[in-house]
Amino acid sequence: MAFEGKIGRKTMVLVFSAIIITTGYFALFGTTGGQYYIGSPAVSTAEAGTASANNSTFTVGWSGTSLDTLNPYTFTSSVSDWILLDTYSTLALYNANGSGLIPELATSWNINVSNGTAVVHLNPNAKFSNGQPINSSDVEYSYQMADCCFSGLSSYVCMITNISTPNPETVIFNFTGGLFPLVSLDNVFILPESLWQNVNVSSYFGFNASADPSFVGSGPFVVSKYVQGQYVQLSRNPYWYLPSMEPHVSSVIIQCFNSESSMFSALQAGTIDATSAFLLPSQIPVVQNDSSLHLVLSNSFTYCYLGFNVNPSGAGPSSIRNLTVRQAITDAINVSYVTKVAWDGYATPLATNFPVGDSFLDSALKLHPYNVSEANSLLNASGFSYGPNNLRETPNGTALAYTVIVPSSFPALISAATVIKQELSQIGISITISSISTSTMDSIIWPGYTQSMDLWDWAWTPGDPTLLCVFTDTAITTCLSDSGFNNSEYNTLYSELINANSTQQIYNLSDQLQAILYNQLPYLPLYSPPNIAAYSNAFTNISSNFAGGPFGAMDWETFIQVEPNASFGKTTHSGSTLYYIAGGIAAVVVIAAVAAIVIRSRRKED
Amino acid sequence: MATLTFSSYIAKRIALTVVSIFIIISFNFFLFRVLPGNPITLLYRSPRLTLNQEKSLAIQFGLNKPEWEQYLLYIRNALEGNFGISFYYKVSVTSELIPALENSLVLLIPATIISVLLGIFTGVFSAWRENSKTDVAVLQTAMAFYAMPTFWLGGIFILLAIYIGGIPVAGEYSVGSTSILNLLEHMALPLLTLVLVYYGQFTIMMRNSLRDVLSEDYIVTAYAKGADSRRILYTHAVPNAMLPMISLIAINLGLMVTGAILVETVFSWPGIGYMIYEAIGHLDYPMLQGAFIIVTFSVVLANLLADMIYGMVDPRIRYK
Amino acid sequence: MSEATGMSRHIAESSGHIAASAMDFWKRYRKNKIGVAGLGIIIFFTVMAVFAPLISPYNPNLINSSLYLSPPSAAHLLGTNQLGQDLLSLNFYGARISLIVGFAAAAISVIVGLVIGLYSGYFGGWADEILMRVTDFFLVIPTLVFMIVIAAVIGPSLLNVILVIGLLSWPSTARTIRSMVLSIKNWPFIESATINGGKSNYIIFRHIAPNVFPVVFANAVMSVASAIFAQASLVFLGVGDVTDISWGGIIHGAFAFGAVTSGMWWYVIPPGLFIILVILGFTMTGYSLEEMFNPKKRGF
Repeated sequence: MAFEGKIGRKTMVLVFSAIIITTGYFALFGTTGGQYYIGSPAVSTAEAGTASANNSTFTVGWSGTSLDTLNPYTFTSSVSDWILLDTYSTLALYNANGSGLIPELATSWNINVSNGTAVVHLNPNAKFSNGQPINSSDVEYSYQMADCCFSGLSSYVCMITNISTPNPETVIFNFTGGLFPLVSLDNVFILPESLWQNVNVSSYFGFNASADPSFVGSGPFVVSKYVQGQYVQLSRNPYWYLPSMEPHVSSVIIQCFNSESSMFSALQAGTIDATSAFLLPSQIPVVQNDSSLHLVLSNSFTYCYLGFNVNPSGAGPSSIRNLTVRQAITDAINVSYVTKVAWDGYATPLATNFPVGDSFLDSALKLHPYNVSEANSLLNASGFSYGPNNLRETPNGTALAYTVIVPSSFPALISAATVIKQELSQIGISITISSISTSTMDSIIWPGYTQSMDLWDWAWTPGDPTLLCVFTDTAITTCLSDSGFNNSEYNTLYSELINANSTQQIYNLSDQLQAILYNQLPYLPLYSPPNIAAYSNAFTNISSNFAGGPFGAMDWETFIQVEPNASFGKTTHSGSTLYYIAGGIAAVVVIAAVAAIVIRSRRKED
Repeated sequence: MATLTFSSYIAKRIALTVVSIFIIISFNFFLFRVLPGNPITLLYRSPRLTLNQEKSLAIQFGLNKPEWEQYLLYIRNALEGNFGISFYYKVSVTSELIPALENSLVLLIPATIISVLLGIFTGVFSAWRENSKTDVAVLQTAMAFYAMPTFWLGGIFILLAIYIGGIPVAGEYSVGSTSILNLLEHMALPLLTLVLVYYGQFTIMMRNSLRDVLSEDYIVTAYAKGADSRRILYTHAVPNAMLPMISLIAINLGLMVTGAILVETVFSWPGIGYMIYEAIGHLDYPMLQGAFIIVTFSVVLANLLADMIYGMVDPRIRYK
Repeated sequence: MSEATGMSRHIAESSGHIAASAMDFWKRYRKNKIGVAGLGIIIFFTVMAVFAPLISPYNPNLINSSLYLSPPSAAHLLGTNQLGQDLLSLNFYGARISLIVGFAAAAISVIVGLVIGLYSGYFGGWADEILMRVTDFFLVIPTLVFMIVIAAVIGPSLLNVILVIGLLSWPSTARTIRSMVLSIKNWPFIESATINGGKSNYIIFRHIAPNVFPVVFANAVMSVASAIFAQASLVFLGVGDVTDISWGGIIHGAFAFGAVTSGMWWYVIPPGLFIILVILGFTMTGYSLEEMFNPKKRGF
């Protein structure tokens, strides 16, 4: 050594340790904070449970697409929909499976589909959260705004031809077709005309000042705090008019997370009381082994499919447009097995293009049988013989090699794609999986239909047959149809469905449409993923009636019904103490290690 | 004379910074224009989307105008600090990004300071005992942390935190809380991750820098003349070795930003890196452009600042 | 990424008299413990990558629906992933992508950096000014964001990831080379070659390039580490092909399928350790090479 540093060494060790300790201190600091803040909702609930239910906050995590806006006409994320369901009244509410309506703002209604009129009587006691009465002109205004070009609700109201308000408690709608009773009463949020007419609704995204109209609602809850992209707090509406739907908690917080994992860890840490229904199969055993957590498994309103590019004017491979090839592919894919692998057995395989549990799902259609030899003979018979590399070729010599595009943000679909790839290799069809962002998928599909196949999903409100519109020719121009399916019989039947004048007729037509899809195979439906949610013991009275379960963002009853669990004892977060100890040990170990190194080096030098 | 050169040096640096900023702004426009996909159809992938609605959204976001017009509009707005309306959140991008930037700084400033200090002290320590076992041990530890993937280390901390229980692993505050204790407890793991991953490079830099200085003739001479070695180290060697560190730290700020994206993503920290990650998923051009500009501006300005400090403290630079 | 900058800055002053034979080089290198250890790690992972099919207990593509995220067992030492694939085998195979991306991207970035550095340094003037401003720009921008955006534009295939990383990582090499060229071009034999009317390209590639080669080599080794890191980060963020077997992809899977929050350490720890080791291997080797090629440091 060129330099001898006996004295300098001590100083350096001191400073070095000081920095280590400072860093460790930040970690340790959490502990002191933890005793006061971690799990505060749970602790406050425990006290509230015995004292008064009126002073409790239910915090639920959300890991889906984060909240975009609470403008009822321009929102797109389903969590916004969930919040709006409880902050605004609709004329009626759909029941759990979407098959019928129960009154909310309307006390009764009289719908005559054959002459296209509906008379709706409003609840005379109904008030907005600012105490002003809700009357028929607010309903008219809300329906008119819903029909504007910027509105995402327009497909629920486009069949309405006229709205009249003979008195403050009656609204009369004139409409065409048979869809009105299915979709129009339960999907339009009623908001106060007097406040909203002052803002430009199409570009109104609000929540900057407490005077914003968005803070005045007509539902059991009202938005009391809104932090963009992070959380929304709902409080009870002081003027709520339906005693039968009185909430049991004083406020609800919906907190956004960027991943299922971070949401789940927040539940484990006690910072939230429930998770949205996007937990993963790997988390199920963890919930089951934790006595303070409850698991909720339900059907989702989503279905996943393998889409074929059958667009006759698209740039996809012509062999995919050949029905025989699609039939062979269908025969060679074991949908049940794909489903089992992708979701560890928690998903439900599907034969048709509706989420499981939907009232429009045609249960007469059965899964296409898994039959590899049938697939091979179909291909042999049509002249798709084996070429080099153990790959089949079209009669004019193009190999049956396709790329499947999958959204990289849907891990289970990537698993499904991996299984499909292996299954199709058995019949001489080669698959390349390209997992890309949904925006890249969008750019591959819609400008020119250049893909071969895609794996994607549709999420849909239950009991709404207009989901079938994605296979019509107009869906190609609106960038909805990823298959590019264009079948004149289908288009005709679909417009009949829109204009049908009885509910029964709609169901019949929907079955016929599904049969066409089943045979023509623009999609091979795969499965409905499960909705997996968990909630803590601190709350009770959570029902899983609705499609999607209590935390699937489709229901309006969870926040109303949830109540603190009176028998839930106060838990101590023993973890905090452990954390303290572990942090202390870690700091000691680091300092000891540093000291050891110093002593060793000194010994060597001395 | 020296002052004159110094101010012209500074003027040159400022001019270059302005040029860089203009390049970044223009480049930024085209970069995000080439992103694939139509943000509107993607955002509204729903059978409910009508052609009317699609058109009205395009008008609202100015997507119906020709590219060159969008570009001019963009430059004008950017100079006014207006980066448009977020496609996804539908509010002004600036109003979203400013709080995000603050959140990022809350995490990044302490992380940078702690890791630089830790790096300097371990580096001095290591250089002082060059080639001893201490040196090898310190250097190896630094390299090992430096080699750690940020997101992986974050994942390990999450794993441990959940195993131990009671440690927040996501977000900046508990909902509704604004207490400093709450902030610190949420900050613990992301901060620890950043410090551990980044102190290593400063150790190595400091060690190299100090070793250079220690081999300079004047130090060797001073030592040969029998001066107190500790005094040599602290009054001559360390201050001189710190000089190159200034510009190295500035250059590495870009790297810290990268680390911030990964750490913010892993720990859901509502900072600018997290915004970038989210905006990519939503194909939110205005948000991406705004975030990218703010991040690059910060790094460019930090570099300018470092150059100025360097110019002030190191007389040699004035004559270059 | 610009990690290499900090460590490679001395090389500017390095001289070209490292034309010693390979034997001589190895004799000197052998004495550097850190360097030998680093080289050992690189060889270890190269062997792992090349012989992955031989040392892996299973075919990593084998799907087993009854082994969804199973914990370690005698049959599967590191458990299985969400497809029931053997994680140990996946980790062995993962070395391939990391090393391929590492070497290929480093090669691209070093070639681009070398060419830009040589021309910029040799010609000086406006060309130099422009090239260096471009270099500064790339040094300053947050590369990862840039990589994410570009990868989103051109698609996530392996080749694209290599190109993106390679074409965005050259600035630090270019800067180092340029400052070396600035001093080399004043050497008498280069000056005389110029005066005697030698073609610029000939002088650059025949006389100057060989003299910067050792430094380029050290730089390249460092770049491999950066490229491996960048690839892992991209795949972790879901950009890049998550269906390729890579360590970053395994960590991505561990997060995406909830293994991290479910406490499945056997899923997330091994690929991370492998990444650390392989990056450490390249960093140590590169660091030692730089020390060797910087004669000023030798003897101290």
